[in-house]
Amino acid sequence: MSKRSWLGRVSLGVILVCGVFAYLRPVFGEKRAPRWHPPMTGMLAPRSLFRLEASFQNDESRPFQLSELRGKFQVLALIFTRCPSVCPTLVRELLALERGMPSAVSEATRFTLVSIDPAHDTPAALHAYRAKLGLSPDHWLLLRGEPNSVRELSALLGFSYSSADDGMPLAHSKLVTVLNRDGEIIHQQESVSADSQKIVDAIVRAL
Amino acid sequence: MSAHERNTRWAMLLVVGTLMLSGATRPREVAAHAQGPQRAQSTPASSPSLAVTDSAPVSADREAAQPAMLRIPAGDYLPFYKGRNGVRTRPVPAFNVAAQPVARQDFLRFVRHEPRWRRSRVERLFAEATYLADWSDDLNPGASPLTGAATGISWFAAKAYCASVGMRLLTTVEWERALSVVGHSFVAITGARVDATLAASLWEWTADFNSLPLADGDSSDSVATLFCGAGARATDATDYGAFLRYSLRSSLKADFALKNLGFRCAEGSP
Repeated sequence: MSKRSWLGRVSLGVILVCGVFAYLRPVFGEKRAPRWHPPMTGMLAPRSLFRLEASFQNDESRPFQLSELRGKFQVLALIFTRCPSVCPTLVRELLALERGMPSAVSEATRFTLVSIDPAHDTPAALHAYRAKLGLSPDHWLLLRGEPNSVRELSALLGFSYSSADDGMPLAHSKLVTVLNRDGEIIHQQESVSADSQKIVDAIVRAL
Repeated sequence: MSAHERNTRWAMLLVVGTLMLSGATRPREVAAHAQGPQRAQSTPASSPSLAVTDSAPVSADREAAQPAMLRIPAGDYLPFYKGRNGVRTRPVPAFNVAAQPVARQDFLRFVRHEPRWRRSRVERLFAEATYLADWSDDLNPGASPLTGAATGISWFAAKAYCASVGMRLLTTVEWERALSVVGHSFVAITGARVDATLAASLWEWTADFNSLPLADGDSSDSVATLFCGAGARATDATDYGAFLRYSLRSSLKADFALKNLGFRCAEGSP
């Protein structure tokens, strides 16, 4: 056997071993890195809130992922149903905003209210809140989530809240956030009342 | 050039090329994950880049990451602010807290096991562009001492780290209580002098950094009013450090990665 062919066989062997290694590497190497997101989030924008791995539930007790909000503009606010005056005012302002929207904007937009008081705001409590304020099932989504999920969402929105000793939430913000169809924040403002047109404008610009 | 040399070069080129194509351009990752059959392949002499030895202790054993813990007994914490109804203390259940902030070598061990928290792979939603900015690359924490506090880390990354060692971030009230129980050594970091009164050389994430520093049903003030007028409402006007910490936390966002912002972990129900 010549020296030359011996070397050729060694190189071939090394290439084969490397090929096997390259093939098996994902199996061994990434074993401890379970996928962080459901597969569809691979297409999401880098700053899409839909990347948040958080578990929510709607007012009919159905598990809900934020990525299900995809495809419509979202007007998002954090509330709690025991909230004495600030939250009902905010929701009524959002209702007025919805009524005043041009039909093209209204068609492309949904409203999502997330409770910061998940211990008290059961799906039934949220459902009663929906009835009380007349929030249509077609355009309004009411969500509750695990405390950790709500904390993560609020941290992303820049919304501050805490729980007092009796468990009653405290919030000083009427922050309203507008998400585009991909879950990116395109507009935020404190309260709706004076500036509701800015919310519509933000959506119109992105339509 | 002899046929022997030529063939040897081709072989080396192919080995290196194949390994690069296989994604093994991150040598430390290979070394960290190499178990059994892969170990022999991760150190061929033909590829110097694979012969990198880890300067920090590498251990798949997560016990090695368990820090020295301090026991903080149940008790009351007196916030620096007071509510409309006067001074209110907050009861804090007992918990264990790490004596030191998480060190760079601990975070290095974490990112070896959790590729999604490496600098090049972290998702922008969860960490801004300055995430681990002082590191040389994904698995090289740069020239600073490995025992120093890990900084440039977002809230989400800090949370993920603590979860990976079976712990959690402290709540804000727990952090402040730990400081009041342990005293200055709580913020005295190995190898660095810290102004213990202000604890300002290194800030730390808390689980609820975006909570409101309020103890009672004081719901009519805006946050801005609270901070602008906080001096008048301070329980202890000399606790400027606590005031600064609350002010800083209120200005943070979850994706911030600041070079003087670290974290530590705790265990026990909040």
